[in-house]
Amino acid sequence: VISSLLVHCFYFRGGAELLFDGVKKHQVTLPCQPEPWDIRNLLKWIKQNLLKERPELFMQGESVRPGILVLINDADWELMGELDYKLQDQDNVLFISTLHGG
Amino acid sequence: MLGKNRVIFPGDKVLLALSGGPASSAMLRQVQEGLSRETAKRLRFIPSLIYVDEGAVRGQSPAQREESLARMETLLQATGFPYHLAHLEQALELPASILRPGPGGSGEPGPSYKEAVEGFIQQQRQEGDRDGGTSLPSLGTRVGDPAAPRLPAAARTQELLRLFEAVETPTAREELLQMLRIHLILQTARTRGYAKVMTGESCTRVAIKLLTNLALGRGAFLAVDTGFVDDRHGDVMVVRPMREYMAKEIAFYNHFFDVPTVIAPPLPTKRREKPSIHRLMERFLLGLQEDFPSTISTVYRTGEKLSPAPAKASSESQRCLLCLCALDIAGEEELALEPTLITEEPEGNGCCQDPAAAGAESRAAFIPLLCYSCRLTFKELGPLATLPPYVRAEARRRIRRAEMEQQSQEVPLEDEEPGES
Repeated sequence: VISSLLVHCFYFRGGAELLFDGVKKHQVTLPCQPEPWDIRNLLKWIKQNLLKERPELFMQGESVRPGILVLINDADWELMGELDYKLQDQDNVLFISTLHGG
Repeated sequence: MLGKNRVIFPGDKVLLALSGGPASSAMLRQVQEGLSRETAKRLRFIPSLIYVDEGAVRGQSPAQREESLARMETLLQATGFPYHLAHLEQALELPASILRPGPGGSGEPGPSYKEAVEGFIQQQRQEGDRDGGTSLPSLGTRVGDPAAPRLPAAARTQELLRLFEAVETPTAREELLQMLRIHLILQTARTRGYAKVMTGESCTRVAIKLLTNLALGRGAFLAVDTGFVDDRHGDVMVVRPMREYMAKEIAFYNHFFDVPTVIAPPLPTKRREKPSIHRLMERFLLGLQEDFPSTISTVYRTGEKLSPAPAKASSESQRCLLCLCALDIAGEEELALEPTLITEEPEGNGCCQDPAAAGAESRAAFIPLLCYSCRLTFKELGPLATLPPYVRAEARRRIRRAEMEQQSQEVPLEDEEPGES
């Protein structure tokens, strides 16, 4: 199956945007590749291509750092399979940092 | 939460301390919602807002500070409530009296909560309050001089930065920041007549604070530091209405209800420094929470079981200079601390003509004024000359007072000239 190009919006909030040059919204077209675009691979891609500084503040191992919430189309990723969820075209992924209080 | 605890009476003037972060922003939204409800459960107090700009110590450039302030001001104006904008630099101008507890409740007991609510509703009906609440102006007004420049003078900022740079550890820096912030908010509350202050600590934040403070040696004060009510200041009561909401719940709430926030960067850590105890504890708890989702609530619920020690008649000589909690060191334990006390040369060699003043200014003289954990923090603060003037002034006053008390005990039955006040 040839996967079509996937277009997505990634949002970073709650302080997470500070790691991405302060940019809150990123509209992205993910390149075609044989491996499926699940969240696991997406995070690797984000780390390589979008993350501007201090990767350890966003990621821990292959997942996000504890304290960072992930919402896929406004739903908690825990309900969607977390790292194993396969991205669909036009999916929005929102990362909210709950670190450093308020 | 507020109804259950019954400490906020109708008509109370309450100051909401907003950091721009998610929890305090959610708190503001909840207050707005609560005040506008038509039902009997409507909130009935009179809120004002305060935002403290800490950009200098958080590594923000003046331009970034201006931007944060502008965004925050827009946010505050949109609520319609009166608001205060303060800078952490203003902590350098606080009076020494801020470190003394204010007079507590009046002699006679006031009306019970129930009576107060009923009385308030009666009054509202008599005044023909038809729209169910005071109508707010569409834009809030800034309390204080609106013509005042946005940022404080550069010299003040430098002074503040010097204070923070001189601190030896990130842990002490965090404690210092919290102390200056609460004193500044308290000063606004006192001078403007706010009897209550609301801070937006979430359940997650409270749980982290509980364990952090335990590690800092504040085990005796956990109830005041993390409970719903913090009344150590006497005339102004600090309440924490968000302490039952997890950070995750607040994040979802803010997302679904479009609650605006203005996030400030965290306190910077220098390159070779280990992280503060605060950061470590946050990392520890959040990490555990990932695999054991009842961690935070368990810590919180355990903390709930703590209640503050019954208030003894505590004169200021029995309260810690910095945190205003009861001094918790008995005589014997001081011996254990003695080897760790480094007696320093009195400050300002050469300019001290008055030996008494020089003695009063040595670091060792501060120690008996502080509780155990504040002593640990104090030892990591920079030279006395960098400390805020109000801290040194109040310390000097208490040291001198203790000396005079000591002297009057040693010299029996003599008419003495009153000493310098």
